[in-house]
Amino acid sequence: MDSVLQTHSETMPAKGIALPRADNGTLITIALAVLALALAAISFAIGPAQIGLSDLFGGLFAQHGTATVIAREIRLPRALLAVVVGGALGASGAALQGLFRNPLADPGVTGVTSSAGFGAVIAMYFGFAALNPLILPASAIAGSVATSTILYFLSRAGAERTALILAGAAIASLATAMTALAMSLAPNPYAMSEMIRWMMGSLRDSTLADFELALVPVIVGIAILWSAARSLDALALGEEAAQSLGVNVHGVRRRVVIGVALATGAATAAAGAVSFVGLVVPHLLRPFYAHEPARLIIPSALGGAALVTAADIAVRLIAPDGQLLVGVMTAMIGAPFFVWLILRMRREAL
Amino acid sequence: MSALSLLHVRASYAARAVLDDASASFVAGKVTGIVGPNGAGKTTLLRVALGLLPFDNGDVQVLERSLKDCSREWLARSMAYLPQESAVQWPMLVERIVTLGRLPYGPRDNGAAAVADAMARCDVSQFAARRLNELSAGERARVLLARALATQAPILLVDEPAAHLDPAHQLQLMELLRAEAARGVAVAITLHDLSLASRFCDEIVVLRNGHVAGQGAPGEVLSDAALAQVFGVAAKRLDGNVVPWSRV
Repeated sequence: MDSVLQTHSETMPAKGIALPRADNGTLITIALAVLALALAAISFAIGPAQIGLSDLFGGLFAQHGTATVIAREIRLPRALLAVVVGGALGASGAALQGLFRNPLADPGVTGVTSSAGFGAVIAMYFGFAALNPLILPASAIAGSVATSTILYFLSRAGAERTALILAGAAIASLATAMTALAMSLAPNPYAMSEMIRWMMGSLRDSTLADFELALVPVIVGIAILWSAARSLDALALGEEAAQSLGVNVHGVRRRVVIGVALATGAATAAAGAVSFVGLVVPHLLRPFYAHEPARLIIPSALGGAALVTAADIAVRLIAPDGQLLVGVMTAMIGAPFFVWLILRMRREAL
Repeated sequence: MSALSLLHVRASYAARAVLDDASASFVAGKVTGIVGPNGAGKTTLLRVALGLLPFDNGDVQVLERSLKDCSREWLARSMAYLPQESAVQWPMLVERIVTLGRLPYGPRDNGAAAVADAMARCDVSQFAARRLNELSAGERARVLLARALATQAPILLVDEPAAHLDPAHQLQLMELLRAEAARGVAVAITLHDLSLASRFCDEIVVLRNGHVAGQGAPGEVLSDAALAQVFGVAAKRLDGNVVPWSRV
């Protein structure tokens, strides 16, 4: 038998093994962490009150005074919450894209964020949140669990990636409409004026309590997503190949659904529905991590933190009166990006 | 010794039996082809053997252990699988894709030698630092086979390896699979191409409507009568190999 293999093997020793070039993933991750921290510091320093930096930082450690109130109760919660919200959305986007093998997946696009917002609005404006502070994030998480579960079953039933995105878009529309309906029926007289905040997302008037309530579920959610990360690379080969490699695909799906629901739900309960962060950030970072979904979770969390913080700085610089919401800024970046991504995918498919 | 056996297996999708009383065995050191018309149950047989599709009756024996008693990890180390679906979603580096074959050994696995060996055997070492989407279909097929070989499993199941490949790459892939059998691996492949099956396989399992119509040497089971009955074709013989020639 003529052996093509033998023919090739004869040339092997001369070719040797070309090892992959080392990428700078670790350095990029450190740079992202530094960037997020630096932006958080800038965010802390920015605000309408004319107050010196030394006074502001001194106010963090003082017991009373105007600087203390501004530093501890206004600037610090806003800066910290931006980091937490961005981290949650970035990591969730990376995990959803890996799970659904779809660069268009994102908590906003798939309706997870809108559903969390709907859950939060129900708790807030019908008085449940007043019963216990945990009810607000729990209700938002329940909203995101519901949508994530629907997506989970659609994916399990073999829905194509376009079908998943369309289903997500339908769920997002429904959740937004239900949020509007709930707010118009709410007994709270300020409900209508706050509706836009829930639908678009804002970090204005954040409190330390908002940050504290969001922090634990977001950290737990990201940790769950990170625990599922290793299997996401195998899923790139397809579900059956991944299963044959010993990956518990249903278990991975469950972990991603729970992790995304916890992180996105808690972030949305604190800041409303901030969109497109989970779409843009993993996509921009992917080439720096050799396109490996497993390596993208933590960098996407850091990148998301940097993006939301930067967007929150931008809205305050552009509109110091507070009329511009951070979610509007991320949507202005993200929506054209989404269209560009679809066009690029279409070009690649041709 | 049979490395993998299906014993009177019945499996169904939505109450419709797709394998019925199917028995087949796959022996170490041999290439066993699974042939049959579209919808005969070839891929289903592989999925059942791998434990990806539960079966209603019968048993599957993997290295003399009942599949139902085996852990997912043990099965993944015992059987490597190359599905027909060969798209990889992200343009990952070739070496990383091949390294995924070591996943059954856990995060502390030091399988660099196995990965390098599998890449060398499939002649893809020179692509280690390239992205999969930069390669031709034939090169991609070899990379994905290297991924399966990196597991170093004693059983290798391959679904339609020749689909979408030009003749030279088809022959190369079949020779790679024969080389695996020569190393003692039990190789099971589903094939539509009866010429490739009769030329490269030591044994053939013929499936028809979910039933095993026969198993044996290609010359025995791919008789003129069987070809007419199962595939509806008449064949010419070239050095004993089957070339489907006309419909009957």
